[in-house]
Amino acid sequence: MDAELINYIKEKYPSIKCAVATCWEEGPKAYHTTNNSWYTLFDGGPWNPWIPSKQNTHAPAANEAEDSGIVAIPHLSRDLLACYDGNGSNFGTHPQNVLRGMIYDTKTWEYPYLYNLIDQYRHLAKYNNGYSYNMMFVGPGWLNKMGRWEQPYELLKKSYEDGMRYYGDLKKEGKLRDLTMSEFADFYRANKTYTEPECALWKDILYGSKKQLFWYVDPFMRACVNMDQGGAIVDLRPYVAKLKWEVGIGTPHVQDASYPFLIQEKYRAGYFTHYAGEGTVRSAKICCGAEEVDLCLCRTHATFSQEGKNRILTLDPVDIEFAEVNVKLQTKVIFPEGESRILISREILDVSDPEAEISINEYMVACYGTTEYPEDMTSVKLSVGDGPDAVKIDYAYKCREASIAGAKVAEAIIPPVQTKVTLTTDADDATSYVKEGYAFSPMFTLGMTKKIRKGEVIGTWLNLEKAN
Amino acid sequence: MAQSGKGKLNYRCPSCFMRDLDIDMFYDKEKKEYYCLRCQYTGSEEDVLEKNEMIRFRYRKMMERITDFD
Ligand SMILES: [Zn+2]
Repeated sequence: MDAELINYIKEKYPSIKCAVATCWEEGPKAYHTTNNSWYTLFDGGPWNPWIPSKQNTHAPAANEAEDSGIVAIPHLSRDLLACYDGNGSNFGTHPQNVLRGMIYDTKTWEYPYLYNLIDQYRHLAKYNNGYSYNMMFVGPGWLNKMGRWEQPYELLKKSYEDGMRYYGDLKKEGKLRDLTMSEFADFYRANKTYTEPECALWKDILYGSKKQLFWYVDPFMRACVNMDQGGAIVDLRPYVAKLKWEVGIGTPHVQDASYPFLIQEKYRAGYFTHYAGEGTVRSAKICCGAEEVDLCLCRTHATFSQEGKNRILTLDPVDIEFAEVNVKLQTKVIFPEGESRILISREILDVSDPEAEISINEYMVACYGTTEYPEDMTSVKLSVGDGPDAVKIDYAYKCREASIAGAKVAEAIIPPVQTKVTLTTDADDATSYVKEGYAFSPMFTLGMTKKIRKGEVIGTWLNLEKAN
Repeated sequence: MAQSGKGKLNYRCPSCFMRDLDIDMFYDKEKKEYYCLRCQYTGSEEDVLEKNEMIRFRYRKMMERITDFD
């Protein structure tokens, strides 16, 4: 449902207070799965319930004035790792999703993954002030008497009954409350504030890797941090712009209701690309002479904590080994509630040779879009530095660069998504830079480089603003 | 040669399923085989069932009941 539809329904039928508004990451990936025959419209939204803004369904309302009047729930509770990479319809708490993905034992008809998925959703209470949510949604087609996905009706029915039984058991144990959608909407409004984020430190429960992702959503952004890539931000949606984005016949977006990304590691590559140029990611490189190591190659894990209004992701320290010197550093990713910005701090825990010249290059490669192909970047405006000394580059695919020693800000304005994104540092001795891309690397880069010493903590902000 | 129809269940193409495409196959009565409209896979019911299970090589924790989510 686009915002225009929700606003219309709310005006016409004011008693409606809850709606299934989207399906999490059901966009181009799910479209491919159906050989491009099932028109899945929606990437870039929240995975758990939220109050949509009047301007854009995906972007939660920041205050009462933006409140659309309903609580939105996504269709299904989906695996936040499996569905980001693979087919959404195989990894949800829709029991037949699990059958569709063949995630069961053919002989015993057992599927512990379904219960693991429900339990990981329950576990999210740890990151959301004790609140967690889960839903199951089964249409009659999924209980087809003819059977489905190579399996007979009996298994379809069993999976539905087992799923309901598990909910029932949890309810008897006092671990679950079942609510109708309207009851849930009341509960949600009574227990959540507008700016309280939804957080999910999600671990792989299917593939046997140790991979962890952290998802964050609030009225200003949705972000995904990948611990398998050293805490790089691999998906970023600037909700702060609250884009007006009507969908359907007669609008500019007939079948595309996704919220645009600035970073998307699947549609715009990430650290790895096949040729020259870079994919979209917010990471850092540690440099020693001619050697350079990207933190994307430092696999690690994170723990979550909350201090006041800050949600903090603390990553286990990583070691960077150069030919002659080793560096140990620790990353923290901090989301201050309601501030529309992300702080990434790097603490240099150790440098094996105090005389070695080591520097850090904090960077963000970005663009904009909703699908796999690049969009026209010619309206993008880059600048580095402040005031009269600022150097500007209007994007023209000429692979130009600009840098200023001592500057504290690198900026991009992206008119098609009405977004201004900046990287800023508090350090006085950093060099800030911007880089334009070219035809076959149609991205821009914002960054700052700085010498580092043992014991130092380097903080870099990623700030999102609406730009009209 | 008569037209093909659906089998008794919706059997998906194993080759396409392995690349995240869910495509039902059709059944050729004369050749007694399922075949895919998108790719070149053909096979018996037994082969389809066996090959579709190949997707499980990814699911190393498929049968494990997990209790620790930290
Ligand atoms: Zn095929």
